Amino acid sequence: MRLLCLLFLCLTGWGVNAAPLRIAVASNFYPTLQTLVAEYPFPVVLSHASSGKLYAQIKQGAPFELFLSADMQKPRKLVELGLAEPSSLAIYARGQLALFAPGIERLTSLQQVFTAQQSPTIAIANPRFAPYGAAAQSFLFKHASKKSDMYKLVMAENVSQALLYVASGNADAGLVAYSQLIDKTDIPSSQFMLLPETDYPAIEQGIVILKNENTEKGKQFYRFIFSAATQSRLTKLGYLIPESSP
Amino acid sequence: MTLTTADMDAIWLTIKLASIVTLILLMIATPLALWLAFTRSHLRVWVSSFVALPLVLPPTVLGFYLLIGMGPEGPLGQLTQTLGIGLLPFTFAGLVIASLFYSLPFVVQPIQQAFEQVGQRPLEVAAIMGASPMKRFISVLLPLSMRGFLSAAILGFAHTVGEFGVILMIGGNIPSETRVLSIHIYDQVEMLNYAQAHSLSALLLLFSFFVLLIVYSMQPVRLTGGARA
Repeated sequence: MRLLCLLFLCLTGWGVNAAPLRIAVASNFYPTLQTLVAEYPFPVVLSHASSGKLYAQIKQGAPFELFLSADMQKPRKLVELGLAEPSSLAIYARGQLALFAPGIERLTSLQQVFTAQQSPTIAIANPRFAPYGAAAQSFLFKHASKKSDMYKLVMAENVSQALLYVASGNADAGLVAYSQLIDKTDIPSSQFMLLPETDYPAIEQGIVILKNENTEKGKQFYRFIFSAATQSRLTKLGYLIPESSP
Repeated sequence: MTLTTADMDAIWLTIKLASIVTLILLMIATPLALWLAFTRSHLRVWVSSFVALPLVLPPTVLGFYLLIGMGPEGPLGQLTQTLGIGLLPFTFAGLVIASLFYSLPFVVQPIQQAFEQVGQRPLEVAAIMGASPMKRFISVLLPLSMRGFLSAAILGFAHTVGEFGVILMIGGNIPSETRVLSIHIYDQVEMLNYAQAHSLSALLLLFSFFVLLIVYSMQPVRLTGGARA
């Protein structure tokens, strides 16, 4: 019995001291954050979903210390609701759009997709709520046509699904995140290309520290994200970094 | 509560999908249920298990395999390409095919149970009186199993209306073609249009409840299983 009590104390004591930092992260940044967290010395628990779902969960009191969104709108709204630290709202990374078309040899422009096939199927993330989707749509409007007679547009739930649509051969090309392709060993670099950032609205991803009793741990990780080392790693993982960090 | 054109498009598309799927399923399920109810073949358990798969499989699994299977490398995709139909994902026809798999047990099982409840006896009596197999089916088995058919049709329709995960995987969210009501509601939530999501969800909730109310007031046909959308 005494042993059991001791065990109980150890377990609960350990729980208090080592309560991990809980981070809500937008799906598109999740794989990247996993890579970054591997270097972080303290325990971290990542919960990933679309920014919209995480926003709804945080609004309903979900226990996260940090929120890494895919856009600026949702973290800003949380600040307005008084659920996040106003001074912490900042851009932690800017996403880059890439064109992925495995059927084309030596991909250098979107036009190749249209010459290779009449009315190709093009996959993008849903522009109505996915920032990469919105960027992809405005890129298409600029470089192809607003009318869909030139191509068949299919909308995925997020960039991962857009990539799946292309990888499974159901779509001829996709406008996806550069970060998804850059570290994939099974996708040769001749099958995708980075699109010029001036051709689509910036994909600014925002972070906020959420107000709760564990704020100090959140601040620590926040500093880690904006450290020079992490920011330079981000550029190697397919992101652009903000011009000024907080 | 005001419905936008996009809402109406999604509702209409959903009704169209569910109606077509239910009609086709009734035609497929009737012979299948007949066989399952009266056969002594060893294959019975295999076929029953296959039919019931969508009850237990997560829709993501079904959707993922359908996406691959209907793709250019998949068996279904190669068949449709050979036939000159093209690829099925991101088309209304693709949703119909997917929904046939997805709602199959909800149509087969009530009909099968109705047939089993009727049993061999009335059919044997009819046979002794000289009725042909077709006559026995139409004049004896069908009228006695009417409740089962009604349950099957209602459940098949309702379950297709509630379909989400599979369509999210293979639909491609195309207005008036693959953006059904459940997907449209999901979009509204993702866009933080909670008020719109709320009114459409309430509509679906009421619809589902009344469907079940009708089905359960038609007892004694027992319902088995229950799957998530």
